[in-house]
Amino acid sequence: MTTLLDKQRSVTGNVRSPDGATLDQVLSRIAALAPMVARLAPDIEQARRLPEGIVAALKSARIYSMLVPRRYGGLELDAPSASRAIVALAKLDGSVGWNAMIGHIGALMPFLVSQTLAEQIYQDGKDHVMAGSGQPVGTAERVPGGWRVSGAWQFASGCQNAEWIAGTCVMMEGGSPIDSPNGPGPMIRTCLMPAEHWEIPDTWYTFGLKGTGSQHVSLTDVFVPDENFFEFPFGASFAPDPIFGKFFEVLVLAHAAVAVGIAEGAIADLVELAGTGVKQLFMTTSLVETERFREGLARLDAELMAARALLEAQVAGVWQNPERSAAKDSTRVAEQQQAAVWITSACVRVAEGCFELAGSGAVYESSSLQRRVRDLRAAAQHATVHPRHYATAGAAMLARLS
Amino acid sequence: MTTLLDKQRFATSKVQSPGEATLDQALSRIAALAPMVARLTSDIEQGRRLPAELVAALKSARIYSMLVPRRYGGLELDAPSAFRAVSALAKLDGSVGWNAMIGHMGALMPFLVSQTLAEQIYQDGKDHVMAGSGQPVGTAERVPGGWRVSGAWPFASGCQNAEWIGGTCVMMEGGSPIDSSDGPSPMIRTCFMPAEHWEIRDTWHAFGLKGTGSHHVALTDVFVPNENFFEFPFGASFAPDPVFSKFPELGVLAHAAHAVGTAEGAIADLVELAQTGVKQLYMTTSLVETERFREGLARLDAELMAARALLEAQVARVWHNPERPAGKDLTRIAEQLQAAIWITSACVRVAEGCFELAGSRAVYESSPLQRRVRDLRVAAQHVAVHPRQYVAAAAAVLARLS
Repeated sequence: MTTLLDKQRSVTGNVRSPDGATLDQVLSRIAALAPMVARLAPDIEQARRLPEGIVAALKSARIYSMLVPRRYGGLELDAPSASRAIVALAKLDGSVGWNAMIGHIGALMPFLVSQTLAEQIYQDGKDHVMAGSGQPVGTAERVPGGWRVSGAWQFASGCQNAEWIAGTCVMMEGGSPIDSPNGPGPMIRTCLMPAEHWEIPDTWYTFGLKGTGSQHVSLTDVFVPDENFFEFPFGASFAPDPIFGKFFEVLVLAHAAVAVGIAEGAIADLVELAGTGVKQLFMTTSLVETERFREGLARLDAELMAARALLEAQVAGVWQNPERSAAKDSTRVAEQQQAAVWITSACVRVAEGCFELAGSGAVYESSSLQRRVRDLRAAAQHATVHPRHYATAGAAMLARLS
Repeated sequence: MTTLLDKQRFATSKVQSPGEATLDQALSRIAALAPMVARLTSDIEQGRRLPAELVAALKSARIYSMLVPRRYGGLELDAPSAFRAVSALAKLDGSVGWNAMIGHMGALMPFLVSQTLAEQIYQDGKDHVMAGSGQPVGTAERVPGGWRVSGAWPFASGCQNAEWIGGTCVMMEGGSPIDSSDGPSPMIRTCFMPAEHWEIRDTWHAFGLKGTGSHHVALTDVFVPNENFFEFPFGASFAPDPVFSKFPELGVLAHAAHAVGTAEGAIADLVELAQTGVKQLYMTTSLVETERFREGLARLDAELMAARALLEAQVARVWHNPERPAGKDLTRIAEQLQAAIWITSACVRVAEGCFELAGSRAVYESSPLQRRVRDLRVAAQHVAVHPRQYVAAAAAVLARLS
């Protein structure tokens, strides 16, 4: 292991994390982004993607590289710190937080592909944007030296800003699926290819998280070499860093971090609105003076405290666990999913409760509260945090307790 | 301070905590109580108090002395450990957990009264049971050398097992309330007297927490010396130990620890029931195989995970806070109230959800699930965790977020 590390240090010896940024530094940089995000909020929603200016600013703040090892030019933050940074970004804007979340996890994909690719991509020591999809809706047909891949994948958040894009395929030979080496079902692998090979059909017309550019991405009969495939999300990395042994656990909880950040934003919006002294129709006192508002605010804030406490406890539990799980199915992450589903659902309740308390002023498109509600409702539909996973988690719980 | 400590060591020098029990030891002793508690469950409810046998076992396990300093013969556990023990006891039985919760906090009262009293009570190095009420529904009329006290206080949990009982009074002189030195209201103090002075009125016929013996306690024109009064719960202690300066904060969060333990018991009951293979009327598969059960179980367990995470985060925050707050009103404990209300309400939802999933079997008095629901519903009516306190907590939320 020493040899491997030394070799990597040597290969990327010219690459040093510029400042070894701590969490506080990252949070300061995020706070400094607030005016730009506020100014661009309408653009983000109307263009249905992050503007180049924001992506460039996120790169300068090293957000995409928060979890990348230092010897590859990243910040190598621990997962609890990166999670807090995602919360802070999602509090600024749901779409910004979402793309940062997808981006900082996606930036780890090259390390699941190969050392060669990781070194090729990160030799400049900079941030790189990755996008993609884990849905196995493409096909890869075996040909000499590689595979010919076709498919169209949904929900590739950030694809218009991405340098590399991934799509997950059923692996085929002679027109038939290849059997999986680890169990029943076909062999499934994900290919990671430079963005220029991909088409981006314009499909992202949505109710929430409008600014994430989660378009379809497609490949049509593109040759992909063997060495560009990997196993998403359970594949092993050549690199020994703990983050790669916890990739899917961290990914699942990262969704919950976005939810917590958006809900924090909703509470902040509500407090700001109430602080203006607004008085609602037919009421005799200002909103902030009513008992109903006060009880509701404290209750919603308490539910958010619980969501944050569970998120932090789970991230710490994953990060401090010395084991490297090798299991390749979702029972491995049953506890993280159970927690992430609950946290996300709780954050939806918090944002909707804030929206309700705010009254009719919150219905305008200019109100950030209605955007928080839409963003959280859209985020909560994601496969990772949808309540349908409770059934799986319940089965895992029963197995654990019997 | 060294002098004070030395003197205290001297005063109680023959008293050393026998085991310096760690949390693990305390939890083992609690686990060992399980068969006795199970055997006595119906006695606890029908007798409407803890049987003497059980109180003796709690004393042997040093439960009442968990937070008492070692130099007074206690275990001097930190609050995070003591609260985990309270949760474990409440998981055995709601009434046992409640009396342990009240008892281990009440055991600190002598340290808010005086060093003389603390030394007198704890010179034998054993556990002592205290009960009482913080409701200012008694009166104390000034007479030479002290006060004559009359009143009847509700909800004095554990009073039949108590050696000392506290009751809170409006302080009077010549038939009129004395003005408070720190505010517009009358002066309020709590008197602390040996149990033989008190009359116990058999009023504890209740819907839940039946076994806690939370009867009325009454004094009728009893002389109480000056030195037996103290300020509950915000008074200062002669002793420098952190637990005394955090007494009000811990008193609130202890209620949440009880709620979490009771809800843990409800989940365990439900899982046990399901694993017997029970099949509900008109269903084609056993309960444990239904998707509805699995989803419900994981959702309820996730809410309990959040409640536990918030409890642990709040207790750790209070315990590790180096400041010694001196405030004497609810704003000081607003955050703990807010958290404890949410935790308790969440635990009520969890227990009621378990009860619903369990179906008609859970309605019998022999079902522990119906008892958990009743115990939690009653625990949630306590002033320390009632949702009306959200209104008071909102001021702190607004101050924090504005």
